[in-house]
Amino acid sequence: MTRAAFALGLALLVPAPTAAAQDLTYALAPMAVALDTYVVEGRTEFFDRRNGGNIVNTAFIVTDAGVVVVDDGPSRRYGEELRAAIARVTDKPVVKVFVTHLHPDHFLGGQAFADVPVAATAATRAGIAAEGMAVTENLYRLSGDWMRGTEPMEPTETIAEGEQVVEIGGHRLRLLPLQGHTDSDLVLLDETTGVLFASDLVFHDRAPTFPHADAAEWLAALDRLAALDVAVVVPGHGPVARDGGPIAQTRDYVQWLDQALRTAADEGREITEVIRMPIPERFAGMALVRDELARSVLTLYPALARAALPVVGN
Amino acid sequence: MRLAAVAAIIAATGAAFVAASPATAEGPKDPLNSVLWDYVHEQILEGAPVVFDDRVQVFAPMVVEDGRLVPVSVRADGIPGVTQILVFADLNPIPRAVLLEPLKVEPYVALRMKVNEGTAIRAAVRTLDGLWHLGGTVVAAPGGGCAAPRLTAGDADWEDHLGEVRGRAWTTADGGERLRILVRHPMDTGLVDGIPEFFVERITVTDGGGAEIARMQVWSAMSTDPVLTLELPPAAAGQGGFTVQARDSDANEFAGTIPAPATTMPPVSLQEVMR
Repeated sequence: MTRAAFALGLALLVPAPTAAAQDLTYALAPMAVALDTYVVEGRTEFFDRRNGGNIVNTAFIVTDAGVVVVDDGPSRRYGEELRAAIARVTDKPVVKVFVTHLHPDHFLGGQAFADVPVAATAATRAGIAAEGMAVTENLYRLSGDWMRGTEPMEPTETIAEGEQVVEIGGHRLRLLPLQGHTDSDLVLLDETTGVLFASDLVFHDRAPTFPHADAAEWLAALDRLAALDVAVVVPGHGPVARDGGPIAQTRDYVQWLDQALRTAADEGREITEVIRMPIPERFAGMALVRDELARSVLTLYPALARAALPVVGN
Repeated sequence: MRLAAVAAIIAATGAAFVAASPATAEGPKDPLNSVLWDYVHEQILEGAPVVFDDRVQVFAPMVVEDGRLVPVSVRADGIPGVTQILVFADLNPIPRAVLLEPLKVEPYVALRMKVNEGTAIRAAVRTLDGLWHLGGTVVAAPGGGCAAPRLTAGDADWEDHLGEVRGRAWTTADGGERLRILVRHPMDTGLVDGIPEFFVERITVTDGGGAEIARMQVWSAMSTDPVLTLELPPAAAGQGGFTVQARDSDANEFAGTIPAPATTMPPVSLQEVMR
C-alpha cells in the first residue's frame, strides 16, 4: 500500500458511514465443500468499515445429531447472520460450536450461540477471559458500526489436552490442539469426509499474521497437519483448497520470515530496513503481504535484534 | 444571553487567539500539514530559521499497533557541517526523543520511540550556520504510547538489570562501521499514575583511540530499554572498539565496552515502500 493510498483510506474512514445499522448486512453465502459440510469464505482483507470484519472463514457440518459450527465470526451481527444462514440450509438445531483460538474474528459471533455449548481449549478460554474485552474494543475501532451490541463471550466447555476423536451424528471428528499461530490453535479433521478445519495455522493466498505467534511452534504444527490424510483444506483465511497446498504455502512463508528476520538481526539491520526488505516473488500473490510483513516485523524483530546484542557492561 | 454579548465574547476570544499565534505565518509551509507545526517550531526549535529539506530522510512505519515502540531512522547524507540532529514527534506530550551531536559519526541515527497518538515524526538537522533542515513522516497509531504501562511492566526482574548495556558493532559494506547500543532502563515518562519520571538522559560514545565520536541527550519519549544505532564513515572507522557511558535522571551511571566489529554487513536492497 502506498502512503497516498493509506492516506486515502484514512480519509474514507474519518466521516463515519451514514448507513443506519439495520442496513448493514454481511450477505453470508455458505458454500458446500464436501458431504454435509459448508464454508462461509471471508474476504482476504484487513478489518475495515466496509467489510465489517468479514475477513475470516467460518464453517459448519450438518450431522445427523445436529449442526457443528467451527468459529462464529467477528461480531454479534455476523453470528446472527451465520445462524440464519445455517437455518436456510437445514432445520436441524445447532448442537456445538468450536472456537479455534482467541483472535476476535473467530469468536465474537458468540452471542448468537449463547444457547449452545461452545468448546475451546483451556488456554483459549483463559485468553478470551483475559484479553477478550481489549480485542473487542480494538474491533470496534477498526470495524465501526458493524460491531454494535457485540460483547466477548467466553466459551463454555473445555476441550481436554491431547489429540482425541469425538463422534457427533455420524461424523468422526479428530481434535488436534496445536499451537504456533497463538498459544493454542485448535484444528479439526472430519475423518468421515476428509475435511481439515485448519484454523489460522493455515492461510491461503493471504499473508499469515503473527501478533501472538511463535515461528518454531507454528512450523511443528504445520508438519503435523502435512502428515494428515485430507481431501479438503479450510484455511482460517483465504480460499478453500482440494489439496495440501495452503499448508505448504503457509509453511514456506513462516519459515522464510523466521529465517530472514534472524539473518537480519545478526547482520545488524534496523527495523525500518527490515520492513522494506524484498519479499520473494513466490509470495507476491498473497493478499496484504507487504502490510503484514511490516506488522510481523514490529512484533517479532525487537526481541531478535536484542538477542543479537551481547551484554557489554552495566 | 443577548446577541450583542455573545458577539462581544466571540470578538474578544478571537482577538486573544490571534494575539497568541506565533509570528511564523511567512515561514515555509509544513509539507506534513501538522496542526501543531507553528507551535513546535516556536517551542522546540525556538522559532529559529528552518528549511524543509528532502535530504533529511526519515523512515518509520506508516502505521503501528503499539505506540510504545515506533522505529525511526534518520539519514541526512549530503548536508555538510551537521552539528545536531533532533528527533521529535509533534503531538507527543514529551515531543523530543533524542538530540545527537555527531562529532565523528555520520549524520545518521536510528531509534525506537513512543508516540501517544498518530503524529508527524520529524528530524531537525542543524548545520554550522544555525539553520535547521527538516525532514519527517507521519505515523498512524492508536492512543496511549506515552501514557501506557511500559513494555517491561510485567517483568519482575527489571531492577536487577537496570543499566545493563548491550551492544555490537558491524563493518558496513562501504568500509565504515555501524554501532548499536541498548541500555536496560524503564524510561518512565511520569505520565502513568503513581510512577515518577525515570529515564536515561545522556549517552556518550568514545572510540578505541579515546576520541569522543557522539554525544546524545535522550528523553523519556524513547522506548523502554532504549536502542540507538549510529554509523561511522570509513575515514573514522577502525579505531578498535567503543566505550559507552550513560547517565540517568537519578544520576546513576552506566558503562559498557563494545568490541571492534567481527563481521561485515552484506549490502542490501530496500523496497521504496515507506514514503
